[in-house]
Amino acid sequence: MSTPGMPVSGPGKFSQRTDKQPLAQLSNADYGEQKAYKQLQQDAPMASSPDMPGGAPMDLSQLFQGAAANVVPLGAPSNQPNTPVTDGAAAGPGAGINALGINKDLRQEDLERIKSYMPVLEYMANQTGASWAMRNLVRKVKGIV
Amino acid sequence: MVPDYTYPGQWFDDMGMSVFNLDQSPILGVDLNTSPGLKRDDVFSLTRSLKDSGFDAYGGE
Repeated sequence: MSTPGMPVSGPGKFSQRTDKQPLAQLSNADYGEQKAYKQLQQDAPMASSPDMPGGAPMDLSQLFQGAAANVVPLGAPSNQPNTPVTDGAAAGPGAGINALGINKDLRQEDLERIKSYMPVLEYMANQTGASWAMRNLVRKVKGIV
Repeated sequence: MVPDYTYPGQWFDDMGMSVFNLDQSPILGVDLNTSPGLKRDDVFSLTRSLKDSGFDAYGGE
């Protein structure tokens, strides 16, 4: 959305800066509105304002200090010559996927949590008319080592 | 079941929740909610553990 009466930047080669335009005037301003409108435009920071982060020239070499020194060329020897490429993978030499610490069997963990309720569950499974599912649950949870 | 309910019919709601969550073995939801030795929190905890463990009473090992 553009402000009425202000130049609009076009696409591609027609683009132009719109932040360096003269202050616009309201054509049908009431008493005091013209001054307030002018003040609003003057308050808006311009690109050349020293307060703007983009205003000051930026030295990229300073920003990424020594970045080129950390780049390993494609043909360079490995920085970890004793680590196999399959390290951390599920196959091949090196540490397995367990080294990542994310292979914990969560299902087993939940069943183990159920174990703490075993006395009650056993009581329920031993009742006459106990469901097959309950008896099977007790059997399975008991089977957890 | 210890009667720690706050509104009438809550027992049915709880049982429905258990049965719904234990869709593989819904009868377990009924069993848990009719157990004399379990509190509501216990039933919730057990239901959650059973659901998360993917326990299927009628499935194979």
